[in-house]
Amino acid sequence: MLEVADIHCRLGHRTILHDISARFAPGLFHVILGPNGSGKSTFLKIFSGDLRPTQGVVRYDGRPLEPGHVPALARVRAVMSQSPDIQFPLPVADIVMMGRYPHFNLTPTARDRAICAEAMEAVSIAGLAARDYQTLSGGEKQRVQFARALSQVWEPAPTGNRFLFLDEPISSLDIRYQHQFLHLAREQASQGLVVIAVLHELNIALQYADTLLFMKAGRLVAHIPTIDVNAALLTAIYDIPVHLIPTPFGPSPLAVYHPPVI
Amino acid sequence: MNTNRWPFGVYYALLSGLLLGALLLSVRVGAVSLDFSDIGRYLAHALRHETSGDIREQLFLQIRLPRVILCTLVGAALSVSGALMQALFRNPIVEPGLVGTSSGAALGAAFVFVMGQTLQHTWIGLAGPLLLPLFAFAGGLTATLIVYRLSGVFGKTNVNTLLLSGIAVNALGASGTGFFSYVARDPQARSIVFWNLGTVSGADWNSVAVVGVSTLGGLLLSLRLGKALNALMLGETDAGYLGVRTARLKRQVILLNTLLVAVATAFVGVIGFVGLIVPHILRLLKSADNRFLLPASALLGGLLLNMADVLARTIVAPSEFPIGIVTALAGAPVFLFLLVRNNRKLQKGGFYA
Repeated sequence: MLEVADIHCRLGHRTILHDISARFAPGLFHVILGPNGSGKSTFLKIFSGDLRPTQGVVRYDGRPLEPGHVPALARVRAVMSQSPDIQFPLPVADIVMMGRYPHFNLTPTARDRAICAEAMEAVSIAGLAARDYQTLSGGEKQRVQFARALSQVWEPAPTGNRFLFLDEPISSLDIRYQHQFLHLAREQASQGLVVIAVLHELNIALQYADTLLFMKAGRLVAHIPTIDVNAALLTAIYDIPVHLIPTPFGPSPLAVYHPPVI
Repeated sequence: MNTNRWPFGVYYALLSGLLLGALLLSVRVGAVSLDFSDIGRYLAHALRHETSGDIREQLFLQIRLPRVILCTLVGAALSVSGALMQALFRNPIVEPGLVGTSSGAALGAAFVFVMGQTLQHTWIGLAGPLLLPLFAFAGGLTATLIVYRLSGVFGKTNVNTLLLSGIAVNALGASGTGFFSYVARDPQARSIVFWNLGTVSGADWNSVAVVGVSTLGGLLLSLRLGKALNALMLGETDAGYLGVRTARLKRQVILLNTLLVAVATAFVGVIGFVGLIVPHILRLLKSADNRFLLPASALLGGLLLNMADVLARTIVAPSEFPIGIVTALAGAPVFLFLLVRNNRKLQKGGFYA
């Protein structure tokens, strides 16, 4: 269980986040949605432990997060941020192995290597293992970073839950990999992890998320099961008329936007 | 033959072997060349604490041997520090000199060259032979801290600000050193000039002891940072998510860099280029993994600086050439050759593409 309570965040004179409280249960895939500048990424940085809130508390399994927890937290919580550029040539396998860094001291064990191989297999990049990361396309880099995050929380923790956070994980992926990623994310959730993703693609979120958390202007507007989503809420969040129409392919509706109001 | 598939151990063995060869070569050649049989006899004498009146034995034990050892240590210190700084700033063009460490150390040293006589009579004079390294270290640390503070390394590093503040602090250091050369008497001024071109001719067992402690200590401490520095390649935020305490890591690297560079520079002056190219050569040959780069840089740095010193001692023998000129003159073409060869292979991308 991940809990955030009364989170406020001020940067300079601007308040980025106002009084956010939420609980994220394990076993579910939670997606954070909201228009640009609504504070989604800042919120993710706060509950990931990168940024300290001006006020409020973040609890992992009931334990308040403190700066000294950094190394221990890294063994149970992985974050995939928006693909970093790296300045030095490193093979893909070395980058994925970084996900195991919190788990071994000096040299990786056979188990660490096996986990990395499985994680690369899961995102279909096993063939890229020896390639230099710098020569990859944006989408390939994103898959490498996903494999790294997966390998970090691959095995159950001795005590407590595991947490996987994804910050706009599918922004440079083509449709097939978008679905592969979210399928994998949901699969991680069904294994009992707390999985939280910040997404832009509303329709994909509707298809895969268990709960949706809507943010607007630094406030938490709604945190609801995906089936409870309605057109009026989406219209209010995105300031554009949204209609939900059923599809013949499954229970999740499709959001369409009409007429555009400019 | 794909050398890139060899494990790290093969490279360590190879580099150690080459370093040993370079050491054997450089104890022999110079203004006076010595035979291995003589060298063995001198060493045996020294081990049994016997002395002989042989001038060549004195030359070997008091001048040649400390010089070769000091050279190895300094090459290792500069190269390890180059690898550390490039990893810290996630930027392959950073070298120790760029962030003001060596120009600050140079200023501290110039101060001692000129004011040393005066200082001898105050309480500071109690430091005795450690006066020069102490001031060089203080100068290096101060200059480095100013640059770091300006470039915001304690918050988010801005590489452009870093480069510009490095240039400004280097200019300040150079103007201070210039001022001391201006007010200095002739022999002092000449010491300052030579010192700025780098020279290991002043090597003695005292300097070997001090630089040995700082270099070996710094190297051992830096070996523990390899994994954290690798994670830092992903950026500070992601390194933090991997469990790295980034603020502490940055402080450690800054202090290690200052320890390694300021102390080495204090005894041999400013030797450029080694710290920049040694990590690059190793990245091109094998890997950018810092767990490999740090120890391998120590070996290759010691090796290359020894070869440079052999050249410095022999090309204009019996006189000698400032080693800083040799490192740049010989290092640059080697570096360019590796870059061009690597572009042809089109194996690596990014910075080297």
